[in-house]
Amino acid sequence: MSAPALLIDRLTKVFADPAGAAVVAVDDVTLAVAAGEFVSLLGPSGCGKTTLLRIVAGFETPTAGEVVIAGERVTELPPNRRDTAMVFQSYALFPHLDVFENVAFGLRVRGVAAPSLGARVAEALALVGLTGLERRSPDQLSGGQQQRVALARAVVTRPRLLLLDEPLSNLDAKLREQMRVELRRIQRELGITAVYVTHDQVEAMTLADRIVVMNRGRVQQVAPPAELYARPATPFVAEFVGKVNLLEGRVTVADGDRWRVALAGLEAVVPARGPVPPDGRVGVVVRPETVHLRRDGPLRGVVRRTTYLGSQVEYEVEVGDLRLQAIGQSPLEEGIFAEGERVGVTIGFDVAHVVPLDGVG
Amino acid sequence: MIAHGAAPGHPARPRGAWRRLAADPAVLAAALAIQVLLLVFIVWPLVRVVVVSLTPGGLWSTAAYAEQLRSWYIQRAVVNSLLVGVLTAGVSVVLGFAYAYTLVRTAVPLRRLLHLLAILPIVSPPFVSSIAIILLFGRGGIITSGVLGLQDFNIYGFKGLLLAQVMTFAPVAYLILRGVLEGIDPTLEDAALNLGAGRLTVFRRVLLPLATPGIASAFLVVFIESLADFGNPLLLAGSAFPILSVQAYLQITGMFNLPAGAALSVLLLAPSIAAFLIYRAIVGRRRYVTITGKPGRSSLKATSPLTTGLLFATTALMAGLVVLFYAVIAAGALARTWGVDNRPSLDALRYVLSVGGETIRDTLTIAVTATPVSGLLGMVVAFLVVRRRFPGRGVLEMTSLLNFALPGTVVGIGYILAFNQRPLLLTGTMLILVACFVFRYVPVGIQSGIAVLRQIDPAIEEAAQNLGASSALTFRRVTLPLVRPAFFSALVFAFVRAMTAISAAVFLVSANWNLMTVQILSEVGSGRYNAAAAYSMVLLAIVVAAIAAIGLLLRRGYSPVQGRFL
Ligand SMILES: Nc1ncnc2c1ncn2[C@@H]1O[C@H](COP(=O)(O)OP(=O)(O)OP(=O)(O)O)[C@@H](O)[C@H]1O
Ligand SMILES: [Mg+2]
Repeated sequence: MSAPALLIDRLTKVFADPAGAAVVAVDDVTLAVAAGEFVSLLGPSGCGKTTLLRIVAGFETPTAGEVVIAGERVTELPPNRRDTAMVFQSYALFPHLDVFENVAFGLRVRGVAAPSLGARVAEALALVGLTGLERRSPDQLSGGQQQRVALARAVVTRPRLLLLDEPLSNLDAKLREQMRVELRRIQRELGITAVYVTHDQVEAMTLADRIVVMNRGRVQQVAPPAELYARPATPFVAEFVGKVNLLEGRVTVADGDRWRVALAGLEAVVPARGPVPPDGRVGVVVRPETVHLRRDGPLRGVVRRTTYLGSQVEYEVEVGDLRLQAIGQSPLEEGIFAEGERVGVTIGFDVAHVVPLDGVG
Repeated sequence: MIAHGAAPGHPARPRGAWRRLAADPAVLAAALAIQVLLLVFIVWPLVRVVVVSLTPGGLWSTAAYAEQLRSWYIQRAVVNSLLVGVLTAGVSVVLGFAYAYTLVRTAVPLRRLLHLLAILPIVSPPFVSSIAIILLFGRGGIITSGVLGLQDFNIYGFKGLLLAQVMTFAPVAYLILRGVLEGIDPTLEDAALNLGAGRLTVFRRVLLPLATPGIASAFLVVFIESLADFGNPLLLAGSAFPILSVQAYLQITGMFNLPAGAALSVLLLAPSIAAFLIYRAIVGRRRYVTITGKPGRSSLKATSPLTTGLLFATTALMAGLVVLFYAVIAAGALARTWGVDNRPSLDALRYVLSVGGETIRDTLTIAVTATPVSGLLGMVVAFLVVRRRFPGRGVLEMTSLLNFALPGTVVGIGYILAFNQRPLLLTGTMLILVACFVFRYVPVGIQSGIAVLRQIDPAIEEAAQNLGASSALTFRRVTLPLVRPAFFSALVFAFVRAMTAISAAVFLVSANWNLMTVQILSEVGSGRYNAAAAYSMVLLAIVVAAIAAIGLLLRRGYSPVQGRFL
């Protein structure tokens, strides 16, 4: 197998905050990205995503560890010799240059001359659907158009690596959705390897081949979106990706591929996962859409909160000592339970997932 | 979270700034070269002044200071200098604030004209007011002897000097305070009104507290400038009202007593440095706010009509005084013999353009050489300081700004002491004047460069690097165009000061290289007021033309350049 397009090897970055205390922004991160792959770095604000991306681009020097791009160690290489293209959160278009010159900048630096220069800029602008706006200056463009100029400027040099730092966060919801689709199309069309930073799990889910979930500088889990959702490695991942009921319990019987778990006042049979922890304590991840409310049923509960969302209804339901989130689909057909109403509850323990409770999995 | 050491067999490699610098040698080379230049042209002359003042007769001693401070006359000079400095600063700040407030916060008419009239004294030689005052109130002045018929009125001394300095430096305070007031969102005042505060309360509780750091720095800047002022005291203080900068000059040029002159200039230096350090502490704490797209709208309701009327009257009065001053200079330049025969004549102008032709050429050559060097150096230093990490960054910033606090007298004496022997034998050359102007006025460029750069998203320059541009190319193609407003003001400032400076330059001129300002002083000294006024008019015309030319050049030079790139 050939070298990965990007290898991040045991990277650590420690900043000194103004008081002089050490801030570990990136903590021993290792990650390999295959050629043509679209990887998303997902995590809460301040978890080190931008720092990691900036180390790859060469704007920060790591405290320890290596960055290898296409088999070449680049850890000490200055940013202008790395051949990575970055799309900045603020776009960072050159305000004194027009659209054409913004896109042409990287080509001019590389000494691309007249006929081929114009052709390549035109091609890049066509790719992002901005043909005809060559002579506009950046401040005469809408947010979405600016974002596309930034993208065209990044891809026109056919970089080894495309780095994107929350490029859609300044756009409104509609445009964001539209740009997600375009971004993915362009990345596929060009076959560029991309690393995409976001704190928006929906964005990561819809875009990425694989998602890297980070928390406090550390990698929590690396997995394709579906696996991340179905089988989160840690309570943090479970809570960060999608909505969740995280129920604490104790394994009472471990029987092959099924475990019996004692939850507050309930017994549940869930799919087993690895060895039973010594103290038997585990977290059971139950997604709200697998909790169903009916008129009647053996397990009784009381609706404590009802939130109407149009296509769905979100409930909070009390079952014994447990408080669970549930989702009712298609309220037009199924109706809505009122707050205080007594209902029957079924919990999808058969598709639940067990996570260890002691920190990192 | 605890930092993890790398796993065994894979030792964590520490990386310092040095390794990164090795990869980007242009930054290190530029920083190093600039640091060496700053040491030679700023620190070394200063060291020489201090050393010479402490080694009278070749031995280390404080005798030069003791001797000077024993003299009653010098004691008076110290007190006078500080007194005039504090009073000039106080009056200038009050007037400057009223002027700025009127122009920024009320809707009075003629704001553009009033602004231009306030700028005029800033682009003139710092002693033009003195000449105007002499023409108006001196012996044979049109007001004192002409209108009022006074025979023994004496404008020389404290009151004349204070008036001249206020006329010279109140515009400086105005410019600083205008920036301060423009930086305070007027919707804050509207919000306070909306919350029920009266107009006086709004002023006292909202505007004044927000403007206080700016007011303090304006005070300190004017105090420093007043202490350093040489032209006005030389012309107006008179021998009964000694001033330190003039006394230092006289010790050197009159008595050839270098240790005494050096000691006096160090006495001048101490309060300047103190004021500068306070200024830095105030300015350093101020946050830079990025200007957002939406300008604050305000109905300017925070000032009552009556107050507005009073402010307008005050402002118009001050502007009228400026008009009067410049009108009398123009009249002086065009009069046959001032005070004796006031019929119009072009003799004085003709004299200046023929006899003074060479001086004008010298002055222009020096200014035109110093201006671009100073402007570019300012932008490079600002770029390095704001955008790059390298060892000694703080020292670089501090030394480059230090010159701002040094009175011109100190610099001038320092230069003759530092550059009068090999290998740095520069006295009598053009280079010593150019170097003096470049390094003396670069702090203004640096400061405005730093202020503008801090408002520009660093990602824009990172984007250029990310696209493959080196540090040098990024600076040339991205940073410089972006800091154009700062670059413009740095160039204008450098040119204006090179044309109008006197306090340091008076020590450095020679038979080969003379300056118009020095010539003006000597014309006044020999009583040729018409010639002095004519020189001043010519100088002013050159400065105004040059500002227009720099504006045009920059506008043309930085439109998006197509095709030609590297
Ligand atoms: N130059 C710096 N000096 C000191 N601390 C820093 C510096 N840059 C980042 N940090 C700290 O490092 C941590 C990670 O920052 P980073 O910008 O990488 O977060 P992020 O995951 O991109 O967050 P966000 O989603 O808010 O953009 C934060 O705690 C931040 O305060
Ligand atoms: Mg970030």
